[in-house]
Amino acid sequence: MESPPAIETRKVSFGYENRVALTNIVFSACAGEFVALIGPNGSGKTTLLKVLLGLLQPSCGTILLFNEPLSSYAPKERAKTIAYVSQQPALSFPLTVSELVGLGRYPHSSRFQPTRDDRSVVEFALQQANAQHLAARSFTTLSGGEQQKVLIARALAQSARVLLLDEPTLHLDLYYQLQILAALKKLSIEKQITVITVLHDVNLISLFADKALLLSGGTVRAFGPVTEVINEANVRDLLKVDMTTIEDSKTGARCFVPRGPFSIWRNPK
Amino acid sequence: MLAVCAFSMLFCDAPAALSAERMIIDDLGFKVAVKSNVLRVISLVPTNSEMVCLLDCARLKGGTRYDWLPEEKTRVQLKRVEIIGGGFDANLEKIVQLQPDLILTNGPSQERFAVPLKNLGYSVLSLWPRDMNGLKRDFLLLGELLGQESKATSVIEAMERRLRIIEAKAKNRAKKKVYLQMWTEPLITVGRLSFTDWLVTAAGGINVFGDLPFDSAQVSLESLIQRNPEVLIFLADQERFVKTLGRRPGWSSIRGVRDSRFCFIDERDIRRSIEVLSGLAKMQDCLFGEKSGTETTSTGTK
Amino acid sequence: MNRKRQICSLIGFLLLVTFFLALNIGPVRISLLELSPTDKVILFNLRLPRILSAFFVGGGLALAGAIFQGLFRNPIADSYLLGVSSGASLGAAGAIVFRLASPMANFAAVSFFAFVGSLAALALVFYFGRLNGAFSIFRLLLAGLGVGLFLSSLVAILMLMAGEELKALIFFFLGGFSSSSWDTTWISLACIPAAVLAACYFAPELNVLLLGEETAESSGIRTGRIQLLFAVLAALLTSISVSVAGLIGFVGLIVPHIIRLIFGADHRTLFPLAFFAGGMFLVVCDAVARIIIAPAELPVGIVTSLVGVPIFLYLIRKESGDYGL
Repeated sequence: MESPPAIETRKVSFGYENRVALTNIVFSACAGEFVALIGPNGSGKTTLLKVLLGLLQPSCGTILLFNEPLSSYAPKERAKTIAYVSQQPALSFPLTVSELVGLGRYPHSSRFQPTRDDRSVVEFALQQANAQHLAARSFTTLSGGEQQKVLIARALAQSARVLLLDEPTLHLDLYYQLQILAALKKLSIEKQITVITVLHDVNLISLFADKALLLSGGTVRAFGPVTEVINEANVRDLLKVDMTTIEDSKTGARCFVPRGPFSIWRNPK
Repeated sequence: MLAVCAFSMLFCDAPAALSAERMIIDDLGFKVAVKSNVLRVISLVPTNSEMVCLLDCARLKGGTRYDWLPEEKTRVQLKRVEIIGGGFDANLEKIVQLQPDLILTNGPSQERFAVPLKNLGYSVLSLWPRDMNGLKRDFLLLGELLGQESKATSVIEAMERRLRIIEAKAKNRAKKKVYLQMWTEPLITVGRLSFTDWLVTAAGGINVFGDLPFDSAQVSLESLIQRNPEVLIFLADQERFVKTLGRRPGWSSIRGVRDSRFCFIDERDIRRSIEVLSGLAKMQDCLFGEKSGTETTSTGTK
Repeated sequence: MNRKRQICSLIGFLLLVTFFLALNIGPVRISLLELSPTDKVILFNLRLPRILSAFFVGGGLALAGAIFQGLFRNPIADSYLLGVSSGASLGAAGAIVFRLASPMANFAAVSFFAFVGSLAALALVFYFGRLNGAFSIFRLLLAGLGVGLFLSSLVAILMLMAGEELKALIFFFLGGFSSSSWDTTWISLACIPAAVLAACYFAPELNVLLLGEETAESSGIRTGRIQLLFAVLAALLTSISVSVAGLIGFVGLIVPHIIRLIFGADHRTLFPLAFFAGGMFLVVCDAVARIIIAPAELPVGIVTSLVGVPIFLYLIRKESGDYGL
């Protein structure tokens, strides 16, 4: 990749009052890359996302967004460049899906009248997220998977070049998980959007991600292309789980099966 | 907003400028201009209505629904006394419609009505006596304003004579320990700061809770039993409670209950009203007389 | 758009009708064709300011309730959060018991000190609601509960001391417009429309805030400042309302829900509609309150509940599908 990275951290550290959460984070992602963030619980993944977003200020180091320091962006400018899908909120009030996705236009739009441009962006975002059939529904009546798609559509409506997602596949059945990740992958390729997402499933990561960032105890254990970085040794170090690698001879795709005391019940021999 | 105010000025027909008037400082400390010829009076509290009626009932154009106006005097005139409130509330529209020359209020609780009425240009006078001297002073002032000085003076003199008799009676007897119950559940009595406490003392009794530095206070049955009053005074609406006293645990150990020395009074009897001496006399009869366990009603002053 | 113009003209029409009807209703019969001098005084110095007062207080309370519901993302938030009602009660009680006089000759001491009390309570709540120099909206809520409870106990002590002035306090708590005049109305006239405009201007931000503080921040909103602004606006609206009219319940809690059930949760439409609906509703309830047992007056809070709750329950039954209940 010769183009400058979309987002880049230079020795970023962050701590709360009584403990350090992130130490010396160095990584970068280019336009159109799909980066997976993986690590055990409590390793600082959500914290890293918030720091990348500008919600938290690093105690030292800098973050560059398209070669400009993140802190130099005005809030709305930043919002036009980098969007975020947090873990699902409980919405207490009945917004319709189009109203909710329309909220993603906030950094761009005028205060009261949505323009034709806004409306078409919203429609397009819903299409990208496979949720256009839900447009008139009330958000609170949707299933978990449908709600997640709508929230992603909202982030897409922000028309940002970088998309950060915090466990977008939580609580979803396998079909929706694959559908959502496939849509994100398509976006990263077709629109050159940088996708950085927290994922727990090693198999999904190797299916969809270009690069992976392995995070543990607030430090980077490994960062690089998925084919290199996601291997049995790293997974054992990071997640304390033994895995067997299986390659599909037809597609060349790799998949990982947990091995060891966990699977003994399947092979009693 | 200025336009709105100007607009309202156009239509604000406040009472015409007063020709001859006097400046009076009322019981709340406000300077009030009252015209010399007061024909239409509205009173916001029963005690003031009674004072006006005593002097010249025809001039009372608006009163409260709790006014106790002697029937002989008002039966014919009752229609003319419009009800404009209940003592703590007042209907501003009706008051304006009645075109009063003088509006009488009481304490700070009527301030929220006094202020708009004053701003509309009416004479709003607060008569709020805290004790007997205040009562006399206010009644004489009202007599002056209504041109009934001689009547006022004679009423006051009669009051003073009666008061002297009552005080003499009280001085000659040994003080009785009294418990006065304002409310049944919880037990509420009166403390040192209340007018009722003064009445009890003037009648020749000692309020068993007279050491409490309150106007009214909630007390426990325990402390009542401990203080062991000789006479118990209840408000008239507590009759049912008193009938069941025998069944209530603890009460029978009180001296006054064992001797059946209790009586009833009306709330009217203990107000700071011009008729208060009848209430005082009733209380004295209750303390020293043979009348016990009977309900008596208030009559007009004589 | 056509629909917007329709709704605006409908609102204008309803306003005119409501005001006209309310002007005609009162314990004193007035014929608009023959106005005697006292009739004029009654109509323009008593009834007109009273109707305007009811309108702005009702609208202010409804808007404050809508703001708090959006701010705390909680449907049972009402306009009296953040200790405003307890502060106002304490101010009113103090004014009555200690016989304080208002420095403003025209403004009754009770109203003045109720307002001062509510501002003082608000200051306390914001002081305790800070965390590291920033405001957490839920800390504010807890501080409001704590300060409110504490001040309520102080009021209870004052009521013990108050003796016979006790009953006047009760009338303050019951709420009403029976003592309205231009002097109490001009403050609502001056302040409430400004607050309404400010709230409507920032309505888009509150929409995004419905999704959570993180999402809002990532959309480019300075959430701390916006939340503080809205909390102050809502509390000010409530303070003014309480100091003018005492405590009137139901309007701040239920009117926003009724509007949401019919028109949706977008704050850009919710705020102005809730304001007008709350205002007209209270004008109607006040008219009922002063005519139904004339010349006595029913406390307006009773009327708002008796009239409003059936409407609300009916709407819940009809619309619960879309509400996700």
